[in-house]
Amino acid sequence: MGGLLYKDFVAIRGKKLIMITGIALVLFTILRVIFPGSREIPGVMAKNDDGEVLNMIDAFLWYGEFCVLMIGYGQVSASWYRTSELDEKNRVRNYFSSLPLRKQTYVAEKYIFTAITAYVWFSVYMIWHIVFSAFAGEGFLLMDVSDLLVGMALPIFCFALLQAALNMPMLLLLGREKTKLILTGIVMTICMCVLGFVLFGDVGALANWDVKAFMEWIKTHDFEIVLTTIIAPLITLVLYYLSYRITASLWVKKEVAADE
Amino acid sequence: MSEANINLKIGLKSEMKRLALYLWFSFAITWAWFLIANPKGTLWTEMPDAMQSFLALGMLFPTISHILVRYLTKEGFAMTGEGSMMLGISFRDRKWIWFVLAGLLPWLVYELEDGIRLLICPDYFDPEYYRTFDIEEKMLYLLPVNAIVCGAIGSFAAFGEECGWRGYMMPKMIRIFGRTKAMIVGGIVWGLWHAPLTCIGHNFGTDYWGYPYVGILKMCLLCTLLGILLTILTEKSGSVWPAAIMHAVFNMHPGILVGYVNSDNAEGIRASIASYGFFFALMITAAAMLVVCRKENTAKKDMYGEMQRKSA
Repeated sequence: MGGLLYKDFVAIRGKKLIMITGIALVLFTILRVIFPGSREIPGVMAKNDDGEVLNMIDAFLWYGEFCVLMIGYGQVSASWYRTSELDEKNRVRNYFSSLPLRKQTYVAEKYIFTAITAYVWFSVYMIWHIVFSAFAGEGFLLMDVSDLLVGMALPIFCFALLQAALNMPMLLLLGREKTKLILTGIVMTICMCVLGFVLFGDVGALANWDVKAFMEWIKTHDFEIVLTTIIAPLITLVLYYLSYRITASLWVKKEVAADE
Repeated sequence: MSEANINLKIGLKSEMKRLALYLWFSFAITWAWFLIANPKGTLWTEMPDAMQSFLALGMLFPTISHILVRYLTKEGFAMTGEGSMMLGISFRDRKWIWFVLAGLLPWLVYELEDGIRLLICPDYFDPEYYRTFDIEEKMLYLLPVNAIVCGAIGSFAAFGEECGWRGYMMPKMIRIFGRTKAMIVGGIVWGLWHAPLTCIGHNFGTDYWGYPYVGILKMCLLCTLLGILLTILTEKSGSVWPAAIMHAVFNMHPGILVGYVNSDNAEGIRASIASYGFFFALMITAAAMLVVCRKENTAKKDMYGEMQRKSA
């Protein structure tokens, strides 16, 4: 198992990725300490019609935090897609079938590797957020949104794992080409639905969405939110495990093709 | 002196050097971090929550020191087995029990603490105390489960400490000093490492007799007791993950009784004794774990035990 994990770690250029992330984190920390939100620098302070002042450095760095969350989400998806794609390309599965390994070990490794990636990127995002918010200016206008983003980080990574739980069986059992076709079909359908909604639906409901009222709702519904926080990861893990069991049982019965 | 004894001595000497290097890195980098992040020495309670979290990132440095020392001493980065980083996870041979225990033990300790406090000083009982947390009563019953789930998922900071202390320091100390001495010395070292935080009022505040020296001593005792539990979990599971999970859940203070125990309700000797409820609870739990594990050790080999026997 350890060897397989290391193979995938090398496949996604793990060492390089760790170095880049580590350096980015250190640089960001230094940058944040030098430019805290509380420091008023002429030329970077913006004022809106209500007279509220916004430090643009804070706003700029906040986008960085958002990017880290999105990169993390992308990396979780890349971890299962890229590694499976490379395995298929390099005919690794055929080679593994000749080794004294249990067949389900290969499937288990793919699931574990994706889960580890999710854990690592969730941790990186949390560290990033801690560094950002420690030096945010007093009354920073985007702080509520930033807090909302932190609350959404766990559901986002849960969604990434659920996505992996749905896609990995396809990728392993049907192959790269068929999976690409199916995924393209699903994405196109979603895009068409969104387009249809924008063209013919009631977009006014979205435009008039009251963020402040939503934040108030969050503050007054502690119990439901905590309950969701507990249940969401548990349900995700159960579904993820079920997906593994189903894929593993089908994988054992599957004959590995000569070109796999 | 036989050749085996000479080899053993050389082995122990190099282990001591590695341990000293690790401790130097761990203390120097972390204390430098505390100094740079909080140059004015602002008290813990006077800091905003975000700044507290930022300062707590110092918890990651034992792991960074661990990696640095392994790199410098060319020890390698094996994930599992003897002399490894102990990052592997195995549920075989009923090892999953230690992972479950890692989530539940902190809850048990905190409930035991409040139970002891109520036993010693019944005046502490306040059926409405949870209202000061600004939460509903039904929420109290959800908090421990929330602490376990969120603690396990967000255990990166606790992992930062455990990968260093339990994953590197303790195996080396056990090999050099033996199990019992290592647990005591390791606990004191871990407690001293927290000294800058104790000095700014983390854990015990600043309003106590002998501040901050008594606080540092109390922290050493707390770390020794907690270290016993964490070391047992690590050696039994062969992985630092249960220790990381337990540490993370501990930091989240899971408990239901805490919503009914108001320490401002009473004064006097009984109240003073009751304030040490956490230490009593930890002592009882650590003693129980040691007794259970001693019984198991006679029948089964464990990872650290095996190492100890080899060195003997």
